[in-house]
Amino acid sequence: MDATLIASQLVNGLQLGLLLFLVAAGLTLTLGVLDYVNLAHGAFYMLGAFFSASLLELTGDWPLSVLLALPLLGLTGLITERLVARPLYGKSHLAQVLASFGLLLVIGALAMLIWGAEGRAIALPHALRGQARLFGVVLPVYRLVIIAAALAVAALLYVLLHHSRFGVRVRAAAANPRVAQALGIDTHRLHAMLFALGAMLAGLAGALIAPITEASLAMGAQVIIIAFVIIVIGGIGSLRGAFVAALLAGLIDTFGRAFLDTLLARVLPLEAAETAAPALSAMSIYILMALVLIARPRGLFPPPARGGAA
Amino acid sequence: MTALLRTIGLRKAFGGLQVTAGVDLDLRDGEIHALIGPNGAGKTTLINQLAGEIAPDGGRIEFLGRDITRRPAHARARLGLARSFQRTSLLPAMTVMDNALAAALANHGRPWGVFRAARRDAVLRAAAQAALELTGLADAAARPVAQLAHGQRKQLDLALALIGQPKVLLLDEPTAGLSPAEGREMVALLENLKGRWPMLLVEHDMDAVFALADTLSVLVAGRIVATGAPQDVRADARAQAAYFGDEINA
Repeated sequence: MDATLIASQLVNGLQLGLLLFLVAAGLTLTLGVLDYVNLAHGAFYMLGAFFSASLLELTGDWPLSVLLALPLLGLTGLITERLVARPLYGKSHLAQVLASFGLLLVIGALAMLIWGAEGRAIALPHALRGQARLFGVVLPVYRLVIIAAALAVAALLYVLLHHSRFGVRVRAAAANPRVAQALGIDTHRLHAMLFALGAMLAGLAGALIAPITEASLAMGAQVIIIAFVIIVIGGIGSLRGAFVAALLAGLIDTFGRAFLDTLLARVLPLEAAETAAPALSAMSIYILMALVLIARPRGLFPPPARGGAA
Repeated sequence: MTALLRTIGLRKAFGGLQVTAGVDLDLRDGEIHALIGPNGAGKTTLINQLAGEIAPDGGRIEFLGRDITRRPAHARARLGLARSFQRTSLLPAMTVMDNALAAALANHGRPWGVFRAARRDAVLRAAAQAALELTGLADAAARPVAQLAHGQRKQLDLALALIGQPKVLLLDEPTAGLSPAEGREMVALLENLKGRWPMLLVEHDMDAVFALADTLSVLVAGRIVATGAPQDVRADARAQAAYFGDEINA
Protein backbone atom coordinates (compact mmCIF):
# COMPACT_ATOMS: atom_id res chain seq x y z
CA MET A 1 0.00 0.00 0.00
CA ASP A 2 1.72 3.13 -1.10
CA ALA A 3 0.74 6.71 -0.39
CA THR A 4 -0.45 7.37 -3.94
CA LEU A 5 -2.89 4.49 -3.81
CA ILE A 6 -4.22 5.57 -0.44
CA ALA A 7 -4.59 9.16 -1.61
CA SER A 8 -6.43 8.20 -4.75
CA GLN A 9 -8.74 5.88 -2.80
CA LEU A 10 -9.34 8.71 -0.34
CA VAL A 11 -10.44 10.92 -3.22
CA ASN A 12 -12.67 8.15 -4.56
CA GLY A 13 -14.19 7.64 -1.13
CA LEU A 14 -14.83 11.35 -0.61
CA GLN A 15 -16.36 11.66 -4.05
CA LEU A 16 -18.67 8.70 -3.44
CA GLY A 17 -19.54 9.94 0.04
CA LEU A 18 -20.40 13.45 -1.13
CA LEU A 19 -22.62 12.19 -3.94
CA LEU A 20 -24.36 9.92 -1.46
CA PHE A 21 -24.83 12.96 0.76
CA LEU A 22 -26.62 14.83 -2.02
CA VAL A 23 -29.03 11.92 -2.40
CA ALA A 24 -29.44 11.37 1.34
CA ALA A 25 -29.98 15.09 2.07
CA GLY A 26 -33.26 15.23 0.16
CA LEU A 27 -34.37 11.96 1.68
CA THR A 28 -33.65 13.01 5.24
CA LEU A 29 -35.43 16.34 4.71
CA THR A 30 -38.58 14.74 3.31
CA LEU A 31 -38.60 12.09 6.02
CA GLY A 32 -37.57 14.41 8.85
CA VAL A 33 -39.70 17.44 7.99
CA LEU A 34 -42.60 15.97 6.00
CA ASP A 35 -42.57 12.54 7.72
CA TYR A 36 -42.88 11.05 4.24
CA VAL A 37 -41.04 7.88 3.19
CA ASN A 38 -40.04 8.43 -0.41
CA LEU A 39 -38.75 5.30 -2.15
CA ALA A 40 -39.12 7.17 -5.44
CA HIS A 41 -36.28 9.44 -4.36
CA GLY A 42 -33.92 7.07 -6.22
CA ALA A 43 -35.85 7.80 -9.41
CA PHE A 44 -34.82 11.49 -9.18
CA TYR A 45 -31.18 10.34 -9.06
CA MET A 46 -31.71 8.24 -12.19
CA LEU A 47 -33.63 11.03 -13.95
CA GLY A 48 -30.82 13.46 -13.20
CA ALA A 49 -28.46 11.19 -15.14
CA PHE A 50 -30.81 10.73 -18.11
CA PHE A 51 -31.92 14.39 -18.24
CA SER A 52 -28.32 15.51 -18.40
CA ALA A 53 -27.52 12.84 -21.01
CA SER A 54 -30.34 14.06 -23.28
CA LEU A 55 -29.54 17.69 -22.65
CA LEU A 56 -25.91 17.00 -23.55
CA GLU A 57 -27.06 15.53 -26.88
CA LEU A 58 -29.16 18.66 -27.46
CA THR A 59 -26.71 21.31 -26.38
CA GLY A 60 -23.32 19.63 -26.71
CA ASP A 61 -22.27 21.47 -23.58
CA TRP A 62 -21.76 19.28 -20.52
CA PRO A 63 -21.84 21.88 -17.68
CA LEU A 64 -24.90 23.45 -19.31
CA SER A 65 -26.59 20.03 -19.52
CA VAL A 66 -26.17 19.54 -15.76
CA LEU A 67 -27.44 23.05 -14.96
CA LEU A 68 -30.45 22.71 -17.25
CA ALA A 69 -31.33 19.34 -15.72
CA LEU A 70 -31.88 21.00 -12.32
CA PRO A 71 -35.07 22.97 -13.11
CA LEU A 72 -36.48 19.89 -14.88
CA LEU A 73 -35.80 17.87 -11.75
CA GLY A 74 -37.39 20.51 -9.55
CA LEU A 75 -40.47 20.43 -11.77
CA THR A 76 -40.57 16.62 -11.59
CA GLY A 77 -40.34 16.92 -7.81
CA LEU A 78 -43.20 19.44 -7.69
CA ILE A 79 -45.43 17.26 -9.85
CA THR A 80 -44.79 14.06 -7.87
CA GLU A 81 -45.25 15.94 -4.59
CA ARG A 82 -48.62 17.26 -5.69
CA LEU A 83 -49.89 14.02 -7.22
CA VAL A 84 -48.43 11.30 -5.00
CA ALA A 85 -46.82 12.61 -1.82
CA ARG A 86 -49.19 15.35 -0.63
CA PRO A 87 -52.32 13.15 -0.38
CA LEU A 88 -50.28 10.78 1.81
CA TYR A 89 -48.81 13.20 4.37
CA GLY A 90 -49.90 12.10 7.80
CA LYS A 91 -50.91 8.66 6.51
CA SER A 92 -49.20 5.41 7.53
CA HIS A 93 -45.64 4.84 6.40
CA LEU A 94 -46.76 1.61 4.74
CA ALA A 95 -49.14 3.53 2.47
CA GLN A 96 -46.31 5.93 1.60
CA VAL A 97 -43.91 3.07 0.90
CA LEU A 98 -46.43 1.37 -1.42
CA ALA A 99 -47.26 4.58 -3.28
CA SER A 100 -43.69 5.75 -3.65
CA PHE A 101 -42.48 2.28 -4.66
CA GLY A 102 -45.22 2.24 -7.27
CA LEU A 103 -44.05 5.65 -8.45
CA LEU A 104 -40.47 4.34 -8.66
CA LEU A 105 -41.70 1.55 -10.98
CA VAL A 106 -43.78 3.95 -13.07
CA ILE A 107 -40.92 6.39 -13.52
CA GLY A 108 -38.61 3.47 -14.34
CA ALA A 109 -41.03 2.23 -17.00
CA LEU A 110 -41.44 5.72 -18.47
CA ALA A 111 -37.67 6.13 -18.53
CA MET A 112 -37.36 2.84 -20.40
CA LEU A 113 -39.91 4.05 -22.99
CA ILE A 114 -38.09 7.34 -23.43
CA TRP A 115 -34.44 6.32 -23.24
CA GLY A 116 -34.59 2.55 -23.90
CA ALA A 117 -33.26 -0.29 -21.81
CA GLU A 118 -29.65 0.48 -22.65
CA GLY A 119 -27.72 2.92 -20.55
CA ARG A 120 -26.44 6.22 -21.89
CA ALA A 121 -22.75 6.94 -21.72
CA ILE A 122 -21.85 10.58 -21.15
CA ALA A 123 -18.69 11.96 -22.66
CA LEU A 124 -16.99 14.60 -20.56
CA PRO A 125 -15.32 17.60 -22.11
CA HIS A 126 -11.66 17.02 -22.79
CA ALA A 127 -10.50 19.30 -19.99
CA LEU A 128 -12.23 17.18 -17.36
CA ARG A 129 -10.92 13.85 -18.57
CA GLY A 130 -7.31 14.26 -17.57
CA GLN A 131 -5.28 13.88 -14.44
CA ALA A 132 -4.12 16.58 -12.09
CA ARG A 133 -1.19 16.59 -9.73
CA LEU A 134 -2.28 17.60 -6.22
CA PHE A 135 0.13 17.48 -3.24
CA GLY A 136 2.45 15.30 -5.32
CA VAL A 137 -0.26 12.76 -6.13
CA VAL A 138 -1.76 12.28 -9.58
CA LEU A 139 -5.56 12.31 -9.38
CA PRO A 140 -8.41 12.28 -11.92
CA VAL A 141 -9.62 15.84 -12.51
CA TYR A 142 -13.27 14.90 -12.76
CA ARG A 143 -13.39 13.32 -9.30
CA LEU A 144 -11.96 16.54 -7.87
CA VAL A 145 -14.63 18.49 -9.76
CA ILE A 146 -17.35 16.32 -8.22
CA ILE A 147 -15.90 16.85 -4.74
CA ALA A 148 -15.72 20.62 -5.19
CA ALA A 149 -19.23 20.86 -6.66
CA ALA A 150 -20.79 18.67 -3.99
CA LEU A 151 -19.02 20.53 -1.18
CA ALA A 152 -20.25 23.84 -2.60
CA VAL A 153 -23.81 22.55 -2.76
CA ALA A 154 -23.55 21.17 0.79
CA ALA A 155 -22.37 24.60 1.99
CA LEU A 156 -25.22 26.33 0.15
CA LEU A 157 -27.69 23.92 1.67
CA TYR A 158 -26.31 24.61 5.13
CA VAL A 159 -26.67 28.36 4.68
CA LEU A 160 -30.15 27.94 3.22
CA LEU A 161 -31.43 25.84 6.10
CA HIS A 162 -29.60 27.41 9.02
CA HIS A 163 -29.18 31.04 8.09
CA SER A 164 -32.04 31.98 5.81
CA ARG A 165 -35.63 32.93 6.39
CA PHE A 166 -36.61 29.93 4.32
CA GLY A 167 -34.69 27.81 6.83
CA VAL A 168 -36.45 29.41 9.79
CA ARG A 169 -39.78 28.59 8.20
CA VAL A 170 -38.70 25.04 7.44
CA ARG A 171 -37.60 24.52 11.02
CA ALA A 172 -40.75 26.08 12.43
CA ALA A 173 -42.89 23.93 10.13
CA ALA A 174 -40.89 20.84 11.09
CA ALA A 175 -41.04 21.50 14.82
CA ASN A 176 -44.68 22.47 14.90
CA PRO A 177 -46.71 22.56 11.69
CA ARG A 178 -49.97 23.76 13.29
CA VAL A 179 -48.35 26.71 15.02
CA ALA A 180 -46.39 27.50 11.87
CA GLN A 181 -49.65 27.69 9.90
CA ALA A 182 -51.30 29.77 12.60
CA LEU A 183 -48.42 32.22 12.23
CA GLY A 184 -49.07 32.58 8.51
CA ILE A 185 -46.60 30.08 7.06
CA ASP A 186 -47.96 28.31 3.99
CA THR A 187 -46.77 24.84 4.98
CA HIS A 188 -48.13 23.22 1.80
CA ARG A 189 -45.99 25.44 -0.35
CA LEU A 190 -43.02 24.99 1.94
CA HIS A 191 -43.37 21.21 1.74
CA ALA A 192 -43.57 21.34 -2.06
CA MET A 193 -40.44 23.50 -2.20
CA LEU A 194 -38.54 21.13 0.11
CA PHE A 195 -39.62 18.16 -1.96
CA ALA A 196 -38.47 19.85 -5.16
CA LEU A 197 -35.19 20.79 -3.49
CA GLY A 198 -34.62 17.14 -2.53
CA ALA A 199 -35.36 16.03 -6.09
CA MET A 200 -32.86 18.55 -7.45
CA LEU A 201 -30.14 17.42 -5.04
CA ALA A 202 -30.63 13.73 -5.87
CA GLY A 203 -30.78 14.51 -9.58
CA LEU A 204 -27.60 16.58 -9.37
CA ALA A 205 -25.85 13.57 -7.81
CA GLY A 206 -27.14 11.37 -10.65
CA ALA A 207 -26.02 13.85 -13.29
CA LEU A 208 -22.57 14.12 -11.71
CA ILE A 209 -22.00 10.37 -11.39
CA ALA A 210 -23.29 9.53 -14.90
CA PRO A 211 -20.03 10.39 -16.76
CA ILE A 212 -18.27 7.81 -14.55
CA THR A 213 -20.87 5.04 -14.48
CA GLU A 214 -23.20 6.00 -17.38
CA ALA A 215 -26.91 6.70 -16.96
CA SER A 216 -28.77 3.44 -16.34
CA LEU A 217 -32.27 2.38 -15.35
CA ALA A 218 -31.01 0.39 -12.37
CA MET A 219 -29.10 3.22 -10.70
CA GLY A 220 -32.12 4.61 -8.81
CA ALA A 221 -32.96 1.37 -7.06
CA GLN A 222 -29.30 0.83 -6.18
CA VAL A 223 -28.79 4.19 -4.55
CA ILE A 224 -32.03 4.40 -2.56
CA ILE A 225 -31.15 1.57 -0.15
CA ILE A 226 -27.73 3.04 0.64
CA ALA A 227 -29.32 6.47 1.06
CA PHE A 228 -31.77 5.07 3.61
CA VAL A 229 -28.92 3.36 5.48
CA ILE A 230 -27.10 6.70 5.57
CA ILE A 231 -29.99 8.71 6.97
CA VAL A 232 -30.62 6.03 9.62
CA ILE A 233 -26.96 6.16 10.64
CA GLY A 234 -26.95 9.97 10.68
CA GLY A 235 -30.26 10.35 12.49
CA ILE A 236 -33.45 10.86 10.48
CA GLY A 237 -34.04 14.53 9.75
CA SER A 238 -30.47 15.58 10.49
CA LEU A 239 -28.57 17.15 7.60
CA ARG A 240 -25.34 17.12 9.59
CA GLY A 241 -25.89 13.45 10.40
CA ALA A 242 -26.49 12.66 6.74
CA PHE A 243 -23.26 14.47 5.82
CA VAL A 244 -21.11 12.60 8.36
CA ALA A 245 -22.76 9.25 7.65
CA ALA A 246 -22.48 9.65 3.87
CA LEU A 247 -18.76 10.42 4.11
CA LEU A 248 -18.26 7.45 6.45
CA ALA A 249 -20.16 5.19 4.09
CA GLY A 250 -18.27 6.44 1.04
CA LEU A 251 -14.87 6.00 2.69
CA ILE A 252 -15.61 2.64 4.31
CA ASP A 253 -17.03 1.24 1.10
CA THR A 254 -14.13 2.46 -1.04
CA PHE A 255 -11.38 1.47 1.38
CA GLY A 256 -13.04 -1.88 2.02
CA ARG A 257 -13.05 -2.74 -1.66
CA ALA A 258 -9.50 -1.52 -2.16
CA PHE A 259 -7.64 -2.78 0.87
CA LEU A 260 -9.64 -5.36 2.81
CA ASP A 261 -8.19 -8.36 0.91
CA THR A 262 -4.61 -7.26 1.60
CA LEU A 263 -5.39 -6.64 5.26
CA LEU A 264 -7.17 -9.95 5.70
CA ALA A 265 -4.35 -11.80 3.95
CA ARG A 266 -2.11 -10.93 6.87
CA VAL A 267 -4.25 -12.94 9.28
CA LEU A 268 -5.96 -15.43 6.94
CA PRO A 269 -4.74 -17.78 4.20
CA LEU A 270 -4.64 -15.87 0.89
CA GLU A 271 -7.50 -17.80 -0.68
CA ALA A 272 -9.80 -17.30 2.31
CA ALA A 273 -8.95 -13.60 2.42
CA GLU A 274 -9.76 -13.15 -1.26
CA THR A 275 -13.13 -14.83 -0.77
CA ALA A 276 -14.06 -13.04 2.44
CA ALA A 277 -12.96 -9.52 1.51
CA PRO A 278 -15.55 -8.70 -1.22
CA ALA A 279 -18.32 -10.19 0.91
CA LEU A 280 -17.27 -8.20 3.95
CA SER A 281 -16.80 -4.93 2.10
CA ALA A 282 -20.23 -5.29 0.51
CA MET A 283 -21.64 -5.63 4.02
CA SER A 284 -19.51 -2.94 5.57
CA ILE A 285 -22.01 -0.07 5.67
CA TYR A 286 -24.75 -2.37 6.99
CA ILE A 287 -22.37 -3.48 9.73
CA LEU A 288 -21.70 0.20 10.45
CA MET A 289 -25.43 0.85 10.67
CA ALA A 290 -25.92 -2.07 13.08
CA LEU A 291 -23.07 -0.85 15.30
CA VAL A 292 -24.34 2.75 15.32
CA LEU A 293 -27.88 1.65 16.13
CA ILE A 294 -26.66 -0.48 19.04
CA ALA A 295 -24.83 2.49 20.54
CA ARG A 296 -27.24 5.25 19.45
CA PRO A 297 -30.66 3.92 18.47
CA ARG A 298 -31.75 7.28 16.99
CA GLY A 299 -28.59 7.68 14.91
CA LEU A 300 -25.50 9.83 15.29
CA PHE A 301 -27.20 13.24 15.32
CA PRO A 302 -30.86 12.84 16.16
CA PRO A 303 -32.72 16.14 15.65
CA PRO A 304 -34.71 17.52 18.58
CA ALA A 305 -38.16 16.04 19.06
CA ARG A 306 -41.20 17.79 17.61
CA GLY A 307 -43.06 20.26 19.77
CA GLY A 308 -46.69 19.54 20.47
CA ALA A 309 -49.78 21.63 19.92
CA ALA A 310 -53.24 20.92 21.25
CA MET B 1 -70.94 47.94 16.24
CA THR B 2 -70.15 45.70 13.28
CA ALA B 3 -68.94 42.14 13.66
CA LEU B 4 -65.28 41.57 12.78
CA LEU B 5 -65.70 37.85 12.82
CA ARG B 6 -69.01 36.15 12.16
CA THR B 7 -70.24 32.64 11.61
CA ILE B 8 -73.55 31.99 9.88
CA GLY B 9 -75.20 28.60 10.28
CA LEU B 10 -71.88 26.83 10.72
CA ARG B 11 -72.15 23.04 10.70
CA LYS B 12 -69.66 20.23 11.17
CA ALA B 13 -70.17 16.53 11.85
CA PHE B 14 -67.67 13.82 12.64
CA GLY B 15 -69.28 10.61 11.46
CA GLY B 16 -72.79 10.70 12.87
CA LEU B 17 -71.91 13.17 15.61
CA GLN B 18 -72.99 16.75 14.93
CA VAL B 19 -70.24 18.72 16.68
CA THR B 20 -71.18 22.12 15.28
CA ALA B 21 -74.93 22.27 14.72
CA GLY B 22 -75.72 25.59 13.08
CA VAL B 23 -73.66 28.11 15.03
CA ASP B 24 -74.26 31.86 14.56
CA LEU B 25 -71.65 33.85 16.40
CA ASP B 26 -70.55 37.49 16.22
CA LEU B 27 -67.32 38.97 17.54
CA ARG B 28 -67.58 42.76 17.59
CA ASP B 29 -64.76 45.25 17.51
CA GLY B 30 -63.09 45.91 20.84
CA GLU B 31 -64.87 43.19 22.77
CA ILE B 32 -63.89 39.98 24.48
CA HIS B 33 -66.41 37.33 23.58
CA ALA B 34 -66.13 34.27 25.81
CA LEU B 35 -67.34 30.87 24.71
CA ILE B 36 -68.14 28.40 27.45
CA GLY B 37 -69.70 24.99 27.54
CA PRO B 38 -69.26 21.52 28.97
CA ASN B 39 -66.55 19.18 27.71
CA GLY B 40 -67.46 17.80 24.31
CA ALA B 41 -69.69 20.77 23.47
CA GLY B 42 -67.57 21.46 20.36
CA LYS B 43 -65.67 24.56 21.50
CA THR B 44 -62.27 23.53 20.17
CA THR B 45 -63.84 22.21 16.95
CA LEU B 46 -65.43 25.62 16.48
CA ILE B 47 -62.13 27.44 17.09
CA ASN B 48 -60.39 25.07 14.67
CA GLN B 49 -62.97 25.87 11.98
CA LEU B 50 -62.52 29.59 12.58
CA ALA B 51 -58.75 29.24 12.33
CA GLY B 52 -59.00 27.15 9.17
CA GLU B 53 -57.66 23.85 10.44
CA ILE B 54 -60.96 22.03 9.95
CA ALA B 55 -63.27 22.64 7.01
CA PRO B 56 -66.93 23.07 7.99
CA ASP B 57 -69.61 20.97 6.29
CA GLY B 58 -71.90 23.94 5.83
CA GLY B 59 -72.48 27.57 6.71
CA ARG B 60 -70.17 30.54 6.36
CA ILE B 61 -67.35 32.28 8.19
CA GLU B 62 -66.84 35.99 7.55
CA PHE B 63 -63.82 37.94 8.69
CA LEU B 64 -63.59 41.71 8.14
CA GLY B 65 -66.60 41.40 5.84
CA ARG B 66 -64.97 38.76 3.64
CA ASP B 67 -66.05 35.16 3.22
CA ILE B 68 -63.08 33.12 4.49
CA THR B 69 -64.89 29.78 4.80
CA ARG B 70 -62.63 28.06 2.28
CA ARG B 71 -59.39 29.87 3.02
CA PRO B 72 -56.48 27.86 4.43
CA ALA B 73 -55.15 28.53 7.93
CA HIS B 74 -52.02 30.43 6.87
CA ALA B 75 -54.05 32.77 4.64
CA ARG B 76 -56.41 33.59 7.54
CA ALA B 77 -53.39 34.27 9.75
CA ARG B 78 -52.08 36.65 7.11
CA LEU B 79 -55.42 38.47 7.01
CA GLY B 80 -55.04 39.11 10.74
CA LEU B 81 -56.85 36.23 12.41
CA ALA B 82 -54.38 34.98 15.02
CA ARG B 83 -54.87 32.04 17.34
CA SER B 84 -53.29 30.49 20.37
CA PHE B 85 -53.19 26.82 21.24
CA GLN B 86 -53.80 24.96 24.47
CA ARG B 87 -50.23 23.70 24.57
CA THR B 88 -47.53 24.80 22.19
CA SER B 89 -43.95 25.51 21.59
CA LEU B 90 -42.75 26.69 18.23
CA LEU B 91 -39.04 25.90 18.47
CA PRO B 92 -38.55 24.36 21.91
CA ALA B 93 -34.78 24.09 21.63
CA MET B 94 -34.35 27.82 20.95
CA THR B 95 -34.64 30.91 23.11
CA VAL B 96 -37.77 32.95 23.75
CA MET B 97 -36.41 35.77 21.60
CA ASP B 98 -35.52 33.45 18.71
CA ASN B 99 -39.05 32.03 18.81
CA ALA B 100 -40.45 35.55 18.73
CA LEU B 101 -38.14 36.46 15.83
CA ALA B 102 -39.16 33.32 13.96
CA ALA B 103 -42.81 34.31 14.41
CA ALA B 104 -42.03 37.84 13.24
CA LEU B 105 -40.28 36.39 10.18
CA ALA B 106 -43.19 34.07 9.48
CA ASN B 107 -45.39 37.14 9.18
CA HIS B 108 -42.91 38.94 7.03
CA GLY B 109 -43.40 39.04 3.29
CA ARG B 110 -39.87 38.48 2.07
CA PRO B 111 -39.00 34.79 2.15
CA TRP B 112 -35.27 35.11 1.51
CA GLY B 113 -32.50 36.64 3.52
CA VAL B 114 -30.36 35.58 6.37
CA PHE B 115 -31.52 34.57 9.83
CA ARG B 116 -28.41 36.04 11.44
CA ALA B 117 -29.49 39.30 9.93
CA ALA B 118 -32.93 38.80 11.43
CA ARG B 119 -31.31 38.99 14.86
CA ARG B 120 -30.13 42.46 13.93
CA ASP B 121 -33.14 43.49 11.86
CA ALA B 122 -34.51 46.45 13.79
CA VAL B 123 -38.10 46.11 12.56
CA LEU B 124 -38.39 42.42 13.37
CA ARG B 125 -36.62 42.86 16.66
CA ALA B 126 -38.87 45.71 17.69
CA ALA B 127 -41.99 43.66 16.88
CA ALA B 128 -40.64 40.69 18.83
CA GLN B 129 -39.57 42.83 21.77
CA ALA B 130 -42.92 44.64 21.93
CA ALA B 131 -44.85 41.37 22.01
CA LEU B 132 -42.60 39.96 24.73
CA GLU B 133 -43.09 43.11 26.82
CA LEU B 134 -46.87 43.01 26.40
CA THR B 135 -46.91 39.44 27.64
CA GLY B 136 -44.50 39.91 30.53
CA LEU B 137 -41.68 37.94 28.97
CA ALA B 138 -39.12 40.66 28.32
CA ASP B 139 -36.93 39.41 31.17
CA ALA B 140 -37.04 35.82 29.89
CA ALA B 141 -36.02 36.71 26.30
CA ALA B 142 -32.66 34.94 26.45
CA ARG B 143 -33.93 31.75 28.09
CA PRO B 144 -34.47 28.52 26.15
CA VAL B 145 -38.17 27.76 25.77
CA ALA B 146 -37.65 24.26 27.15
CA GLN B 147 -36.72 25.80 30.52
CA LEU B 148 -39.81 27.98 30.86
CA ALA B 149 -42.48 27.34 33.46
CA HIS B 150 -45.86 26.32 32.08
CA GLY B 151 -47.36 29.75 32.67
CA GLN B 152 -44.53 31.43 30.78
CA ARG B 153 -45.00 29.06 27.88
CA LYS B 154 -48.61 30.16 27.62
CA GLN B 155 -47.47 33.77 27.76
CA LEU B 156 -45.06 33.02 24.91
CA ASP B 157 -47.88 31.43 22.98
CA LEU B 158 -49.84 34.65 23.37
CA ALA B 159 -46.77 36.69 22.39
CA LEU B 160 -46.35 34.70 19.16
CA ALA B 161 -49.99 35.33 18.28
CA LEU B 162 -49.59 39.08 18.89
CA ILE B 163 -46.44 39.57 16.85
CA GLY B 164 -48.15 39.88 13.48
CA GLN B 165 -50.35 42.74 14.78
CA PRO B 166 -53.52 40.68 14.21
CA LYS B 167 -57.02 42.14 13.95
CA VAL B 168 -58.60 39.40 16.05
CA LEU B 169 -57.28 36.89 18.59
CA LEU B 170 -58.71 33.40 19.00
CA LEU B 171 -57.64 32.11 22.40
CA ASP B 172 -58.12 28.45 23.25
CA GLU B 173 -58.12 28.06 27.04
CA PRO B 174 -55.33 30.48 27.94
CA THR B 175 -55.51 29.56 31.63
CA ALA B 176 -55.79 25.78 31.21
CA GLY B 177 -53.27 23.88 33.31
CA LEU B 178 -52.01 27.00 35.10
CA SER B 179 -51.61 27.35 38.85
CA PRO B 180 -54.05 29.81 40.49
CA ALA B 181 -51.31 32.46 40.67
CA GLU B 182 -50.29 31.92 37.03
CA GLY B 183 -53.95 32.01 36.04
CA ARG B 184 -54.45 35.37 37.74
CA GLU B 185 -51.37 36.70 35.97
CA MET B 186 -52.74 35.53 32.60
CA VAL B 187 -56.10 37.17 33.30
CA ALA B 188 -54.31 40.42 34.19
CA LEU B 189 -52.34 40.23 30.93
CA LEU B 190 -55.50 39.70 28.90
CA GLU B 191 -57.26 42.57 30.72
CA ASN B 192 -54.36 44.75 29.74
CA LEU B 193 -54.77 43.73 26.07
CA LYS B 194 -58.50 44.27 26.15
CA GLY B 195 -59.67 47.03 23.84
CA ARG B 196 -56.57 46.75 21.67
CA TRP B 197 -57.37 43.27 20.41
CA PRO B 198 -60.85 41.85 20.05
CA MET B 199 -60.75 38.29 21.36
CA LEU B 200 -62.81 35.16 21.08
CA LEU B 201 -61.97 33.29 24.24
CA VAL B 202 -62.68 29.65 25.01
CA GLU B 203 -62.29 29.27 28.73
CA HIS B 204 -63.22 26.91 31.55
CA ASP B 205 -62.33 29.13 34.47
CA MET B 206 -65.50 31.07 35.35
CA ASP B 207 -63.62 33.68 37.37
CA ALA B 208 -61.53 34.45 34.29
CA VAL B 209 -64.62 34.56 32.08
CA PHE B 210 -66.50 36.98 34.33
CA ALA B 211 -63.41 39.13 34.80
CA LEU B 212 -62.79 39.47 31.07
CA ALA B 213 -65.84 38.90 28.91
CA ASP B 214 -68.11 41.59 27.44
CA THR B 215 -70.23 38.96 25.75
CA LEU B 216 -70.74 35.40 26.82
CA SER B 217 -72.03 32.54 24.69
CA VAL B 218 -72.84 29.08 25.95
CA LEU B 219 -72.25 26.18 23.58
CA VAL B 220 -74.01 22.90 24.35
CA ALA B 221 -73.92 19.92 22.00
CA GLY B 222 -72.82 22.07 19.08
CA ARG B 223 -75.47 24.78 19.54
CA ILE B 224 -75.33 28.23 21.09
CA VAL B 225 -78.02 28.01 23.78
CA ALA B 226 -77.51 31.47 25.25
CA THR B 227 -75.63 34.59 24.29
CA GLY B 228 -75.47 38.10 25.77
CA ALA B 229 -73.93 40.12 28.57
CA PRO B 230 -72.31 37.81 31.16
CA GLN B 231 -74.69 38.81 33.96
CA ASP B 232 -77.75 38.17 31.78
CA VAL B 233 -76.46 34.82 30.63
CA ARG B 234 -75.70 33.84 34.20
CA ALA B 235 -79.35 34.41 34.92
CA ASP B 236 -80.49 32.46 31.90
CA ALA B 237 -82.16 29.29 33.05
CA ARG B 238 -81.15 27.13 30.12
CA ALA B 239 -77.55 28.05 30.52
CA GLN B 240 -77.69 27.37 34.21
CA ALA B 241 -79.10 23.93 33.60
CA ALA B 242 -76.64 23.15 30.88
CA TYR B 243 -73.50 24.45 32.37
CA PHE B 244 -73.44 26.28 35.65
CA GLY B 245 -75.46 23.60 37.39
CA ASP B 246 -74.19 23.03 40.89
CA GLU B 247 -71.88 26.01 40.85
CA ILE B 248 -74.80 28.44 40.68
CA ASN B 249 -77.06 26.51 42.98
CA ALA B 250 -74.42 25.96 45.64
